[in-house]
Amino acid sequence: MKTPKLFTKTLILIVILFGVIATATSVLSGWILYRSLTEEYRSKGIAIAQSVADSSAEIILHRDLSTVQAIIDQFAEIGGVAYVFVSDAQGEVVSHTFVPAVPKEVLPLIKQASTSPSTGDVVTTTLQVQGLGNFIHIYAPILAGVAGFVHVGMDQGFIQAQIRSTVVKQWGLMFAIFILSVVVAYILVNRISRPLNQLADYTHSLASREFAAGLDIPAEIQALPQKSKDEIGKLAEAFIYMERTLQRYLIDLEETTASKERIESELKIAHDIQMSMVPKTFPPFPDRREFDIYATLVPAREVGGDFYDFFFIDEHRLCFAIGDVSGKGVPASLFMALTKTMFRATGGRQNATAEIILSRLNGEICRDNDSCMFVTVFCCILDIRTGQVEYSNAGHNLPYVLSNGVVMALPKTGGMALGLTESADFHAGQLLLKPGDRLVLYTDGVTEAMNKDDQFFSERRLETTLQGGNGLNSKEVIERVVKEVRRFSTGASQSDDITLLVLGYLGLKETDEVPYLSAEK
Amino acid sequence: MAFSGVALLPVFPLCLILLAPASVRAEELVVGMSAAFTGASRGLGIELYRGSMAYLEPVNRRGGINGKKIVIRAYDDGYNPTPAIRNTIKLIDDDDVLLLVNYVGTPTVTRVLPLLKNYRKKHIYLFFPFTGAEPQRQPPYSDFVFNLRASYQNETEGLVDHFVQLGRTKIAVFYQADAYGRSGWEGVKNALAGYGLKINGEATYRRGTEFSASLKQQMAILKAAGAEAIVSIGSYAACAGLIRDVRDSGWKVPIANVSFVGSEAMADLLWQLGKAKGSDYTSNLINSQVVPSYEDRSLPAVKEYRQRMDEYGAKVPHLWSASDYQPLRYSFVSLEGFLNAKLLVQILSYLGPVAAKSRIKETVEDLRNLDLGIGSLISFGPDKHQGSDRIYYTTLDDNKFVPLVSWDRWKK
Repeated sequence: MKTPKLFTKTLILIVILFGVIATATSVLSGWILYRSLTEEYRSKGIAIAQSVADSSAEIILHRDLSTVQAIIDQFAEIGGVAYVFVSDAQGEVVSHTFVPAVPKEVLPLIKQASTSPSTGDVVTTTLQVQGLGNFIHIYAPILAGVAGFVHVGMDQGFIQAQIRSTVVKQWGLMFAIFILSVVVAYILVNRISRPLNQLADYTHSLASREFAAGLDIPAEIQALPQKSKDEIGKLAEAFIYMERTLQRYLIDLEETTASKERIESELKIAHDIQMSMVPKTFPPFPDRREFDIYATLVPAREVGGDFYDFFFIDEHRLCFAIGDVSGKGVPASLFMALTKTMFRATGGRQNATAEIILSRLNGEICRDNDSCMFVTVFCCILDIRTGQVEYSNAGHNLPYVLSNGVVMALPKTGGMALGLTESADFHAGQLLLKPGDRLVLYTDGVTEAMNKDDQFFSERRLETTLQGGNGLNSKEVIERVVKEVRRFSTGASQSDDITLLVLGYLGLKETDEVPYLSAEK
Repeated sequence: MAFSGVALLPVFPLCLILLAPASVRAEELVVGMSAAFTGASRGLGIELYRGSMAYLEPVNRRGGINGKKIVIRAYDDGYNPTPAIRNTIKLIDDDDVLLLVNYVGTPTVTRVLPLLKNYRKKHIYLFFPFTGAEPQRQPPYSDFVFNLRASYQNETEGLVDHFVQLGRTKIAVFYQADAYGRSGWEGVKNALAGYGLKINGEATYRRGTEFSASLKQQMAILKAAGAEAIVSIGSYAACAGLIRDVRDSGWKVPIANVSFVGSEAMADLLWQLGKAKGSDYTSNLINSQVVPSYEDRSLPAVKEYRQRMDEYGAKVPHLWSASDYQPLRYSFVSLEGFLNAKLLVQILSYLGPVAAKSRIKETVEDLRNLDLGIGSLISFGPDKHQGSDRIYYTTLDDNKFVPLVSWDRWKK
């Protein structure tokens, strides 16, 4: 198993701690030991010197040096005593324990002892002997010095050796405790870090796991909250909770996505159906030279409530309309489909005029309008021979007429939106299109298209756009307007269906050339 | 350094008796002995014992003294003071010996002396210790000790006298760093003081030093002092070691050793070494003895000694008869043991059948002009507790210690 990083840090801490403690205690105990041993040795040496001096007085006077030697030999065997020797009144060494000889370093001390005024006191000093070491040198007078002196050397090396051995033992003990601490720390840290590592590995593995594959949380993670009733347990609990929540969430998400996809595909089909309901083949009457018609519908959602339509009522009369169902989405689209179907049905009858078409249409819609929806429609009938346009409005935006670079809205005719009341009245308006004039029908999705500052595209901008489009054909006019609207609303989502229908009256015979087309050539 | 001293050898007290009863029986005269039977100086204890036994065995065979056999109860002290004290207490208290005899060594005997004073009411006397040191010859302990041999004082004085007469006034001392060494050192010092001279140089060695140890340091000190003669106060191993290192350095200075050294053991070491290295280590050596040369067959005691030793054979006290110890056929030490035993038998016979301890002192002090067959008579008295003060000088000739006839070869 890999050493946990946490343990490395703990180990460093322990090492530093023990280093400091061991050093401090060794220094302290070494110092205390040195002090006490030095004092002990000093007093020991004094006791020995005094006792030899006291006991050997008579013997020395007897000139029995082998007995003196026997006495000092005894004392020299005591731990820490390096040497003992006796000098006589003349300063001559008469008994000693040195091997192989009395070192010359002691001679000044003997001289000092025999020449200094005798006080009868024991004198303590230090002595360094080359090759032997350092000593606490003590000398005591025999019979106040008249019979000589007893000299005792206490080995300072002995003291140092004692200190060394004590410190070494202390370090040994410290080391043992240190090893024990490291082992305990290792076990403790492992106990903490192993679950942490397990959690970390587990978290990493989360990313690559299939949540849907079931609740396969590793057993050791699952066991953690029971095993450690501490923060780690809590953490593990949180992780387990997190995974379970994620799993639930992801399962929900999958289901939601699936159903959304289903609805979307249904909507797509609905969109296709809706789009197929409005004419999309342009030019719709390729053999007609009298007019130029083009239309577009851009739903804000998959399906929308706008529509347009055009058809010949008879040989010379073209009926065309644009509509906008209140509301959006599926209900609006269904209502649009209804309206559009009924518009065809009513428009295709004999003697149809714009107002009659709207009246009939309104009647049909109102009859079963349980959902209380309504639709605005602008309906026109063009006599392609004359350019005469008869129109009627059911609450729709007023179209514009483009004539020689002039843009103007059609005058109002009154009339409410279809589906509101069965008894609604619709009025007719007349308009004569000169060849080259264009009638532009649009829904409020154009003028009320919003930019990201929540401003409307507005009639004013539409008028300006149309003005700049003088000389363009119907398709080009629509493309220009759509492009402008898109540019205007960049960054904002489309809020309503955008629908445009443009009819250009050419006033030409079937055989005539299209003048602006040839002019452009 | 003195404090490191000689490690106390383990003490194995053991009864060494001819007839082996543990308790003192009425028909036995038990005497106590503590000596070195192990360690560097074991040759002294063993040979001293052998010499005594060589005399006592035939005496005991003939029925002993006054019908009592003489038993030596011997313990080993390894030449160390503390075991010597313990052995002595044991001999006095537990074994209730009649007297003590044949102790070996100055440091041991010096420390045992106060014990004798302590036991004075028991009338315990130490006979013929194998040491020439002064403490047992001086008050307050001279009362409790009877010496047969001359003192180191006598030996060193004699050696110094001869060297000075030869014109060798620069005399150095090589000695054991203990009471024995100090005793000899003091003897040399005092003898030189008589001529107004001082010790020329001195070097010590630690008790227990083996022959294998180097003594070059000591040799260098003595050589640097310019010594013209060396008096060695030591045991055979260290003294032989010094002779080896002195001769190896090419220094031909005469070296004198005192009786305690164990002359034969020393000679044997030097002879073996000389044989191995092909050089001469036995020239210019003088050994002072407190007994005559065992080669001097003109003396009745020597003749008797040789005969008894031959009868006794190569026996060594069992248990201590370590496999590597080769007993000497004859030696100064065993001759001393032999003479000790001979004098002891005389004393015990004078003591009478009761053998009362309280009568020992007066019995010995009454002895006058006793002839042991060594060419001089032995006398004791209330103020004379040393039987002989005769010194015999010997030298090595053909690996034998022979009486030294002429000192002229060392004349300056």
